Amino acid sequence: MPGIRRLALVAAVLLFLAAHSPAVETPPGWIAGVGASALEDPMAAADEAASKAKAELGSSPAKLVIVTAAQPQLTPALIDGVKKHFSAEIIYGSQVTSPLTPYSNHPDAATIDVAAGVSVFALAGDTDIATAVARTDVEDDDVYYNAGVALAEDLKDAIEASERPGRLVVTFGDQYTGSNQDFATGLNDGFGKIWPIIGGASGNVTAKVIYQGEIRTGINVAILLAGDFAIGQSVGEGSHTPAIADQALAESIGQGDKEPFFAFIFNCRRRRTGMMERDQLAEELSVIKQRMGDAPFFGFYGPGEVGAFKPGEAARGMGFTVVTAVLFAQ
Amino acid sequence: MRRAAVCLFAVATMVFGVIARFAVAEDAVEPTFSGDIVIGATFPLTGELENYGQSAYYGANTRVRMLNAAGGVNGKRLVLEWRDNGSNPEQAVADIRELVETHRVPAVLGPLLSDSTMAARSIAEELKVVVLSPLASIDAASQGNPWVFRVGFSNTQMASGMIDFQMRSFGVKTCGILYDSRHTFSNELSRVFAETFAERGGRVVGNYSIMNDAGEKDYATPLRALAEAKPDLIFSASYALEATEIVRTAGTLGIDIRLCGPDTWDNELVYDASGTRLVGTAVVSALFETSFNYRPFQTFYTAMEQAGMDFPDAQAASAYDAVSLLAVALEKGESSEQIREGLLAVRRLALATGRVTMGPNGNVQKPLIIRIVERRNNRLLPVFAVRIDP
Repeated sequence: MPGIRRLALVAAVLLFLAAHSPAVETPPGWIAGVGASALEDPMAAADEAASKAKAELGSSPAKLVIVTAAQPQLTPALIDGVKKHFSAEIIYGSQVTSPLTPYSNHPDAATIDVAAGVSVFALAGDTDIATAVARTDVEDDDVYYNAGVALAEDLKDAIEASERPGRLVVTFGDQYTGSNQDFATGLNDGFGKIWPIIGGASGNVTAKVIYQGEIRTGINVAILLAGDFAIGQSVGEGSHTPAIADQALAESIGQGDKEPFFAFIFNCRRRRTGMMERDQLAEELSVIKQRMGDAPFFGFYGPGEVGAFKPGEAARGMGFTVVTAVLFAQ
Repeated sequence: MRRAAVCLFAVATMVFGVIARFAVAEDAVEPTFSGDIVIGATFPLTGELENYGQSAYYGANTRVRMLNAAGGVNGKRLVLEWRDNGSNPEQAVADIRELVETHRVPAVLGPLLSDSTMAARSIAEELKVVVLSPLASIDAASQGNPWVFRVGFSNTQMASGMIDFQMRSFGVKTCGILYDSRHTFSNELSRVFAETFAERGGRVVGNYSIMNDAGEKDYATPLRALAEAKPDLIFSASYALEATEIVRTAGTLGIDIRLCGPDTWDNELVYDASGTRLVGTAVVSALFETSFNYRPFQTFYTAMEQAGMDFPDAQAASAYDAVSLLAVALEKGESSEQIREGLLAVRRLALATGRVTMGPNGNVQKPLIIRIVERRNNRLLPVFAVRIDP
């Protein structure tokens, strides 16, 4: 009986602490929702995930939607499911090996290209948003570098002009590791100065990428988010253990003086395979959630990452890594 | 006499095979040329290193054929005057002398690998002939010699890249090294790997030759010694034939330690003959993945497949790129000095193995790729893992 009383006391203390712990401070301009669905039918899954994301926006109209799904699920029907809730011109997204959100990274998915679930990130509020697209299915020996330059040049005016203190460029598409080094160099050179960039590869030139509600291949997409936030960035390299993701997030979070309110996380699919073989995939999701507390996150496992080891450093194309960009209220 | 006959047969068979394939594949009318540019070539088409020589021979000839089909170089037909050095450095040197003195070639493609390229340093300087090695990796091969150039990775680049990859990706902290004391490439690479590993904070638990005191190959004894020390990694600076035996012996002995090797391991012989213990092994490579949207590599891969090479490999790619480099250099002029200047002027040239810049010491700078062996469709195949830029 004394043991049970002690347990009850501990539980009460924990409940009290949870109820009185400071809520995550989110900047006024940032209204985001993340939804996920494990339904197999693409339209039903998209409908469910988009509905959840939209519900978190309340009455604020969405300005940006990013959808991730396994390659077989990324069909026009999936887009139709998202369009039930959001207008086509703000829908972007990518095929992924597996989504990475607080709700799941789908540990049951045994191999790549299986129906690993649909995830939706929706953003409303007064965060400044600009998007750009560059083709990679063109005859050009420097296609990835030039795609990076083109995207940066298209976003350059918006990124320079924004009066918001925080800027983050999120990128995905045909930037498989091996080509993402050239792509990241092109982005940096195109901007002409270092901006925070984070990204994940959808696959190679055949990868399905959503741009303004259309499924396309052979493109890279870059999305500029400018808002009232500060950014922590880090990279966890290699070693298939969840500790690498934990360490990268801890470093990113440690760079801010507040609790994070959101994170973009792009993760290597080979890390995922290794962890899956050792039944550590759920553990990785668990350590990420522990680090993020109540704050949501969005990203995916794919075949290449773009990120920076710390703020102020130029982004690089990488593989075998987990890259993080953590947002803090300014 | 017997070796010469074998050589002639092997070369004739290969040449006939390649010509036959080209003849079948090519219906186009051959361009009109204003003359020939004859470049010497000496590869190990027979002997211990013939698996590399034959792949490289295919790669070089395929590139020559493509260039000539597109009008040649400076309006002239590019011709490679081939010699088989039998995997013998002394023969490679003799080949270069004969090619220069008899055929007046301004440049020689080859020797292919480190031992022969090191042996060729003196004669290159003596005859003032450009020597362009597709695969020599020993750091000293081109240093301090204005006539020797390399297309392959240096031992320093391979050691550094592999160590970075292993330490970062797998948390490797200790390693054992196997080398083949008969070869300068292997001796230097094992030393550079050990020094670099220690510099990066790792601990080398053993560094053993596969050649025993009696001058015989012994794979089991050094492998057992390394296994007892339980390193996180075993790196082997060896050629393909020895690589297959190392992997097989490790499998037989039940040694379950991560293996890795230099670019000499990135060869069809290793993938076909090593057995399943090879799965998970990391190798240095010059090859992108076929699915990559990098046109020069795709062009190479398609051309090699059309030429009948089922498994276009890194050796073929390096020789193919060496011919591309020579062609670019020849546009500056056709004398040895002009070719030399042309090679030194190469900057970010898009070749099959990546963007290439020629360093002032005659070593190319290009991305190093690491591939990991996986089992796919009942075959062991290397799969792209990371690219490490210089």
